[in-house]
Amino acid sequence: MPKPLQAAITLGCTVLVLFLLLIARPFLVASNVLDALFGVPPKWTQVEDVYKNPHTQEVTRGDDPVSSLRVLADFWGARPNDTRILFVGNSQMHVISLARGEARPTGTEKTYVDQIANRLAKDSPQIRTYRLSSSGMSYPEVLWELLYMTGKPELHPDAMVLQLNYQAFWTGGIRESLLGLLNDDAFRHQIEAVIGANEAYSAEFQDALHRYDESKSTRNVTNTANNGIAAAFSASKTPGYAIETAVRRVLDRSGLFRGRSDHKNDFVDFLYRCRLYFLRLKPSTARSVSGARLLVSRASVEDAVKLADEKKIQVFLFNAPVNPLVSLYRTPEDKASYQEFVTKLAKENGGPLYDFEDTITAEHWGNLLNGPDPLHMGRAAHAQMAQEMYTKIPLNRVKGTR
Amino acid sequence: MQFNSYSYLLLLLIVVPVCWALPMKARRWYVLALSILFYASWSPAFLLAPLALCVGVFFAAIRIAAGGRRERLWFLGALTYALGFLIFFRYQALWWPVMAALLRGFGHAPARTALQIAVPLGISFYSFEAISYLIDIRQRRVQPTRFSDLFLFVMFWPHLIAGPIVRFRELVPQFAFKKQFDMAMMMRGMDRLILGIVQKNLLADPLGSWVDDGFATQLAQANTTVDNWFLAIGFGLQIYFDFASYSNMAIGVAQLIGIQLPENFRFPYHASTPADFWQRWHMTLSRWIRDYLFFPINVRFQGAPIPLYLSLLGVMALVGLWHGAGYGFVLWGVLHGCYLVFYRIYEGLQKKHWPSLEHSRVMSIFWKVFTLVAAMTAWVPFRATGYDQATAMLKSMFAHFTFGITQPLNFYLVVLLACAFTAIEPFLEAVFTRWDAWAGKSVTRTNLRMYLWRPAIYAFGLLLFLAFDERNTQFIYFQF
Repeated sequence: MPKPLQAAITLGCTVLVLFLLLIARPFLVASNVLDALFGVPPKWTQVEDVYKNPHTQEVTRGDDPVSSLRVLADFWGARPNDTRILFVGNSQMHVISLARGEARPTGTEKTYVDQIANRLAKDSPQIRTYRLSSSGMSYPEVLWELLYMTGKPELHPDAMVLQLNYQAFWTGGIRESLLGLLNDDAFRHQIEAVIGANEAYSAEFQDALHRYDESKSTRNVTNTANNGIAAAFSASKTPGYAIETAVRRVLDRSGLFRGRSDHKNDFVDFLYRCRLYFLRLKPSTARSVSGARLLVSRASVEDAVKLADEKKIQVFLFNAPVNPLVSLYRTPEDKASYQEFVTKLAKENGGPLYDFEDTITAEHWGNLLNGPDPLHMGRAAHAQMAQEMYTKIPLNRVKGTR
Repeated sequence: MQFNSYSYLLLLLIVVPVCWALPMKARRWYVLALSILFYASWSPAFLLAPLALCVGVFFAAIRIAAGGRRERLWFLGALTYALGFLIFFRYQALWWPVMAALLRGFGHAPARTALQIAVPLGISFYSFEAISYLIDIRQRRVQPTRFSDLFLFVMFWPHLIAGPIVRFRELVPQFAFKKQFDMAMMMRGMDRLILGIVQKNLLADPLGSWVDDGFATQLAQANTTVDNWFLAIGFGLQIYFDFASYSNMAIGVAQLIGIQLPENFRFPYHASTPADFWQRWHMTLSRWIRDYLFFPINVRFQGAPIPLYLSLLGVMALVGLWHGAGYGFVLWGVLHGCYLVFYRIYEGLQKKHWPSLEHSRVMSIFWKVFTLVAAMTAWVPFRATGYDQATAMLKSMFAHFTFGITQPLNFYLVVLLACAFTAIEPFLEAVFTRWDAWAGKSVTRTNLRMYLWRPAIYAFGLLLFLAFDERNTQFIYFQF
């Protein structure tokens, strides 16, 4: 056989195998095999049919908050005299992970925030609630969203119920989906002012602004920071960039090509499982929060509360429930330092700290893959939390302040 | 057009078969045309820079080769022209303040941004190639040939933007394209290309996004000692994978059309001494510096220690400056110069006073660890956003120890994974080479290798490339 033909066949075989791999999703298969080997509870324990309502929730759970806020602006904007309460927190507010012994779901389930909203709607019909929760929420993100919302009369809340959680202090950065808020010029100027103010979280905001500008194809080829005054040229204005754009547009017509990011997610999930199963490093593995991360998270949450105060938003701070089977704090000092901070924060805010950290007992928590879930609760726990919060936090007494 | 872009990879599917289908004599013109188009895909205006450089160097080379009384004058003139070219574009930060001060002296007040000249991509690389050509002509190692040879030597697209820095005599003879279709070379080229795109998309870019977060100005001040070490190592690995991936793709693509480029990396973090590091890291730049700068200087001093040490420091500072007019680059070079001087001093003492240490296992481990730690330390000023950050990080790494971790856990895991990959790289290469040799021993095995195993490996690499596709990333060395 002629050698060029052999090379062509090798190439053809490569394309064929690639096609098969794209269909087969090998990393997903590998993850499923690992799950089976490590005894993960059935998938239905992670309730999929959770109540959704774009007028009371950020239904995309952090994937597309921009469009959710647009819907909310229309809804709240049409009811300017109603009182608005905003619930801010992480995935605990929108995930139900059934505990051992809880029955398979038969219909739509409601989380504790939805249940509180129900009760408020019955007792005080003029109160509107909104759950602004996202998975892995960081406090810089809370500040980012609050800055945006307080700048818009139709989104300006009267009260904010802010979840405090030690785990959330580990998290940082502004997610990609929140960058779209920068399309608003006034908000962009606010963010630029924060960056200029050199706050602890300014670098995170600057990074977000940079990523936003990058996504708008303004990334420069040369690194001007270490490069003096040499002029940079925009890679997005080159003929090569235009050709690449055209090629991508054609390739994007294929569903297999469009789904390439699924393979990245599969791969990352697979690595995550390896981390969990083999290294036993869980997201809940006890750790200390220190240095930059602690500085940024604390400054963000403090300034979010200050901002709310300036804008006459009543703030209710609550300590989120934590699974007693999981110790998030690496040392007793970590726990003491965290509790000291949240207590001081509440004191500065002029109100109590509603502490639910030890409210839910061990049997009411779900499982995260092959271990106890530190954050997500079962059906009974959500009902208990709704009851506790509704009884202890005087939400039905919130008055309009705008 | 980026090497790790879809348009480039798809273009290769057309360009490579056409190249082999063309008559041998036509191939060099075809490759020259492709190279011009490739460079113009960044900016057609950029073409003027290599063209002007080559025209000047070409005519000077003819006069130098002709010999005579003015040979030296022509040589120095041409050298000044090529260096001036580089300085004009690459080091605006150095000369513009002087120029601005002069203008102010004459009553003008130019703004700092008055001069904004875009730096043509790859200018540091092809300027050095042009200089090496001039020196080779002067030393009668090569004879001036056609302008198209010189222009193709500089413009040959796989190495144009970020090397490897080649020599005229090792590349231009290959442009005769006298080779028949070489299947083994073609497969090696494919191996390198796939390895390169995986290194870039799967290792360099994800590491880069973590490292960028860690080096963010305000946050870096609060990093602990552990964070800073991980950041230094993370960046060391990022730049290695980034640059090595480019070199792999360049070498691979050249092999696809039957051209062999020199190697640029040889597992640098496995170096046994600081001197060995420079025989493994950016090998073609090291070779250039050694042959055209270091040896000529030291021949004059016949190996006397003090001039040797001073020249090492000076030459390494220049290597740093080659990366750009930033203090961090120079400091990085000077640090490497210090490591080399330290090693030379030890080597001298060891030969004279402690000959028994020559094969000492302890010393060999010491130098291995020293080289690795020293190389990672030097990356701090190279990457830091400013002097304050670099000093704060170095202090934290070596003096003011603080423990604990402040970055997301995945950052440390990703760095450790990349370390593990770097550690087993030579082993993987050995396994792959052995397997390749074993698979070539029978027809059945050869067919399996050609039509099953290799396609499976390539497809898996391409799957990772697709999955980790990030459009707006660049190769770090594009800016040098």
